[in-house]
Parts: sequence; C-alpha cells; structure tokens
Amino acid sequence: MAGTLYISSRKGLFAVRKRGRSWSVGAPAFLGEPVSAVFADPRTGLLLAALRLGHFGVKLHRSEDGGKTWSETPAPAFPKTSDDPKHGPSVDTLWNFTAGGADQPGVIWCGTIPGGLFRSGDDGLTWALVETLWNRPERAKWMGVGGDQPGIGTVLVDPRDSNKLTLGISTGGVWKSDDGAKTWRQAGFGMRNEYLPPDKAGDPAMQDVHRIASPAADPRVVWCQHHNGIFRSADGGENFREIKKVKPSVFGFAVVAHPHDAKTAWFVPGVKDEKRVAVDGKLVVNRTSDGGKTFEPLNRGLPKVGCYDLIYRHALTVDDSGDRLAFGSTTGNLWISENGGKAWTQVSCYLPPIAAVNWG
Amino acid sequence: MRAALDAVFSGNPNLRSYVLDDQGRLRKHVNIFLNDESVRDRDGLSDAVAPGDEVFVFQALSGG
Repeated sequence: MAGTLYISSRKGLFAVRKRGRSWSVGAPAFLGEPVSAVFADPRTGLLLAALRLGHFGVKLHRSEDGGKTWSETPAPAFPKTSDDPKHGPSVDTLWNFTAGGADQPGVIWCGTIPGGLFRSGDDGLTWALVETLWNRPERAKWMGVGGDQPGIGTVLVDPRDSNKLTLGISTGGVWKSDDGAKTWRQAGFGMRNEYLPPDKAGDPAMQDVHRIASPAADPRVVWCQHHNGIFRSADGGENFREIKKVKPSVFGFAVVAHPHDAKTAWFVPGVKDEKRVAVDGKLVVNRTSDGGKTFEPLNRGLPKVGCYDLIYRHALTVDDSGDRLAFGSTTGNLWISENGGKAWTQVSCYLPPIAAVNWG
Repeated sequence: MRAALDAVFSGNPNLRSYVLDDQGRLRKHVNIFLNDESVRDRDGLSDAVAPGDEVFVFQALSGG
C-alpha cells in the first residue's frame, strides 16, 4: 500500500504521510512555485518535480533521496526548428509522467502541452521528443481547449508488453503504438465530441479526451472521461462505447481504474461545462463496480451543500491496492479514502489550488 | 544581442532556459533593456550591442 501522497499545487509540492491515525501535510518544496506534475518511480523511488514558472518556463528537478534534496536537470524541450523559428514549438507544461515497463529500467514518458511526447532512457536526466508522433500530419487537427494548445494528458504502458502505449490527448483523441513509439496509429473510435460541427463530431482525431485509465489486471479495459461523456473500451482503447445517463453528471476531468478489478472505476462529476463546479453544491465521487452499468455517488465525508470545487484530470488517484484514493481541488481541498471511496477524510482545506496528486 | 547572451550562458548553461524558450526566443514574461530601450527583436535577438552598452535582463510582472 502506498505511503506518501505527493500534491502538485500552484504554490509548491507537498508530501502527505500518515502519522498514527491521521494524515499530515509536510513542509512544501518549491514554495511559491507552480508545480504541474510529480513523478514517483515505482521501480527506483526516483522523484521528479515539474515546475511551470510564470516568467522562466518549465523546469525539472530530480530527487534520489525521497524529496530531501532536489537538483535541477534539463527539462524536456523541443529541438530548434530551422524552417520557422518564429512559430516553432516550446514546451508550455510538463503535464504528466509515466514509468516505462519493469523491463525498461530508466525509461520515463512525459506528456506535455502543446502535445509533444518526450522519452527519457536515463531516469529523467535527458529527454528526447518522440518525433514519430509529433510529425504525424493528423496533429494539425488537434486543438487547444481551455488553454491555447493541445496536451497529452495520459500515457498508458501495457503491463503485459511495455512497447504497447496508449495516449489520451485533449484534444486529439486516443493514439496507440505497438512498437515502443516507433510508429503510431489513431485509435479511440466511437467517441463523439458534441461541441464540434456535426460532420466532425465523430472524428477520432478531434476527441476531447480529458483522461483515460486502465486496470493493470485487464489492459483491454480503458475508461475515458471525455469532455462531454463517459466512454469505455473493451479492446485496449481501439473502440469505445458511450455510457449515457450517468447521474449526477457525465462531465468531469478525472478517472481512475481499480488496479485489480476491471469493472470498478471512479470519476468526479461536475456541472458541464461552462460552470465546472460540484453538481447542486454537493461533491461526490462516482464509482461504478459493474463495468459502467450503474454508478454509485459516494459522498460520506465530502461536502453536501455549498461546494464549488473542481477536480482536475490529474488530481484523482488510486494506489496499487485499489483501496486508497485521494483527490484534490482547485479550491485547495484534499481528501483521502482508505476504503475504496466509501468514506473520505478531509486532510486539508487550505492548500493552494491542486493540479495533481500521486501516490509514491 | 544573441552573442552577448550566449557569452553569459557559456558560463552558466542552466540560465539559458530561464531567459530563452525552446526555440531561442526571449520568454514572454522576460524583457531585456539595451541601455534605455526595450530590445526590439525578441525572437531573433538581432539588436546590435556595442562595447560599453548595458544589457539589463528582468522579469515582467505576471502571476498571482
């Protein structure tokens, strides 16, 4: 069972640990600096912290001693383009990190805004753009939503075959590689994007995939929290089926999958889509335990009235046991459950706005 | 201007990405004064710097 929860916030990185029976928020690292993502490598214990400094761009720090000390290392960056230096790409946000397979020591993937995927083969010391994806002509269809530019919000590594990768892109749909990122193909068929012109709504390259999640026990199952709905795949993300009429809402950003139970997943719904607050002021975590046939809105320990919190796509997480969940909000609230979401404990109500939470 | 900055970065390589973006352009919320004037070419950094000129790099206000 994971022991430390890392909080990426607008004003620093916080480590949350259990002291006796209660959870304790530690002193921040990078106080005052926006932390966009943290990576805790399950293979080595290596920590990476990604910063998005208002003036000075994205920065990357490594820690090999569990966060006691940090050292800056070159962040993923686009190669210089000779043809169009004025409009060439620059990394806006290091959005999320994913460990390569257990058979790929040192490999780490980093999804970014504006839609570049980067790979490190040396535990994050150096990074290279995955040009095979960046150079796909379909990328011209990707769009920014919320921000100006698209972002790779999820990288899934198949636990059965580390060369099989599945990406969730907002907005760019689902992409897959079967050969360790040498080649890519569009996947994610069957989704619909309701804010597009009708003849474009079904284009798989234009789907607003907020987040995808897959159970380690059965990587054929892929859950998707899409901008305008919840979708589920039973074939590894090639094709999706929409799950409709989910109460209180199908809108949200985050989804996590139970690692051992392919029928269980958790979502945090909100009022779509221009409001983005808890439905009727009541915050719930929506759990399905039957593959999406039914959903149970879990609220024990969560606000029942007057709540306007929003949970971003990387701000809900589950540990390897499937029992411990955590989520944090843009309002700076943090909750942890140790029983699969049945009951929640509020760990803090005055953290900075939370971008991401990770167990490590 | 670019040559002047490169001379500084050669002594402190980490500084480069704080001032310039991936393509070598001046970052959006960073500014440079050449003597008393804002640098003109923020992308190409082609402004001419003469011996004795003062180059002042600073952060413009942003955030909250």
